[in-house]
Amino acid sequence: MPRTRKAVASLLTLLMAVLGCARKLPQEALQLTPESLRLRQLQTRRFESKDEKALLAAGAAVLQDLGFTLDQSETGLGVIVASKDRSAVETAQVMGSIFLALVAGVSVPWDEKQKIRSSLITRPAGPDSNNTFVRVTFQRIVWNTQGQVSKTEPLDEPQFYQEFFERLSKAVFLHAHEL
Amino acid sequence: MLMNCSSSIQTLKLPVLLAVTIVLAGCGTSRKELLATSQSQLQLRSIQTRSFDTTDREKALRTIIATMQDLGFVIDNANQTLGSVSGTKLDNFQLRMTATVRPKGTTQLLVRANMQFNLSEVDDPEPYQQFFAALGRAMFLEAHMEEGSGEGTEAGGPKGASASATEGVAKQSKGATAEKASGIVEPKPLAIPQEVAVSGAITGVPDLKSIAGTWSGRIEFGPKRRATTGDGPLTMTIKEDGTYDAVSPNRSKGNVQVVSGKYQLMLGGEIFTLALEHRAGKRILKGSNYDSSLLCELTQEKEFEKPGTK
Repeated sequence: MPRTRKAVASLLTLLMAVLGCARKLPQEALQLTPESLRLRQLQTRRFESKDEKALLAAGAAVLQDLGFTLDQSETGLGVIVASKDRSAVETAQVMGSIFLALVAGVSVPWDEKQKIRSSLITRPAGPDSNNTFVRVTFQRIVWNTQGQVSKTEPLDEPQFYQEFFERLSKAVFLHAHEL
Repeated sequence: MLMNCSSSIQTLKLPVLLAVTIVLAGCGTSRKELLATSQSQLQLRSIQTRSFDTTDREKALRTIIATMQDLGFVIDNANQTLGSVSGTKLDNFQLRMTATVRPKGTTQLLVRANMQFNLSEVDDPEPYQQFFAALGRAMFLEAHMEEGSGEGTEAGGPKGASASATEGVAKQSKGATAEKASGIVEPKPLAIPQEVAVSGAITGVPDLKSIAGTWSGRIEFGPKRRATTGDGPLTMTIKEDGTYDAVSPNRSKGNVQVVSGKYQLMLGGEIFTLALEHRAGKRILKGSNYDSSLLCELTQEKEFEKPGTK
């Protein structure tokens, strides 16, 4: 038993050392990459409408349908910001944590709650265009049972965006064109 | 940080102590503080600020929002009256940014950005350069899109922009002549980011006169290559008052500044520090950007013609 403890202890030490040094902003953090373009296509749809306000209102309604509450909006710039707080408990993680506690005698916290954030932006395609672009983005912060932030990440799964735009498309009775 | 240490601290006294030591010794955070104080307010402001040759505030704000989305930010807040946009990027870190837009004179807009990474201010020039490079490109593309809006609206907007943002790389490296030949509008001064001129810093410095003239050469990837773009031919004209006009093939304009005996100027969104050398009877300006990921070498073609010379 003490052997396992030692192993866990040294692992923790290493982890802390690594985390301690990972405090600098990564060099490529603000670099545009092919990945950023893929994400833009994933997160953006074109609607054949000039009515930015109607698209924004429909977007707000869809976000509400999905359980988001609106935090901020600026219609003049086509901005809606929304968020929702939900549970982040995953059975597998809890089981793993209990297992570790039994075997190694250390208590490892598991993810408890999360805040999902979203911004929805509308943008006229051009001054003479009849099209409007809508781009929505999601991200989340997860806290563990100790109240510490355990995850900060973008939510990039294609199905989130597909479903969102399907709903938006139905709400405005317009087809959502992919880029 | 992510793990729970408090309950295991009894059994982990030594390892924890070790970890703390490693963290403190390895990261040299105290050293960084030293650097932070040596960086003047003026320098930080010039790192965080760019002016754009446009007065369309709403478009500038919308372009900032779109650029931030491209860079992975979720917008937190936007205010048209204040002219501000804030956003957060989460990617195993938390990066928060605010950009504000305000008029500069009657023909320009000033964009100032400041960032916070986890719990500290970002005073490293690089993230700002990356942001302004992306923003400059987006503003510039916008200008093009408006011009070309007669030829079908579908192509304009983000799709066109998306193509150019990476493929523009290829386009840029073809050189300015290729751009002209293919009918793509030559970059006009509109909305090209310029380094904010620090007035007073350049007047009365005799050294600037000695580099006046036309220079040509190349920008190449340096040993610490990180960018995928940036290399290519460069031609530049420097006037006696220190103003320069460079094509690389993107156009950069601004004022050369003399910093501890070397010349500092901005080319394609990067700040270069160049030194004057004499080699085989030729005058050469040579240097790199701040982390040597890009190198620049220029040979003088002709000196600036001034009325009084010989």
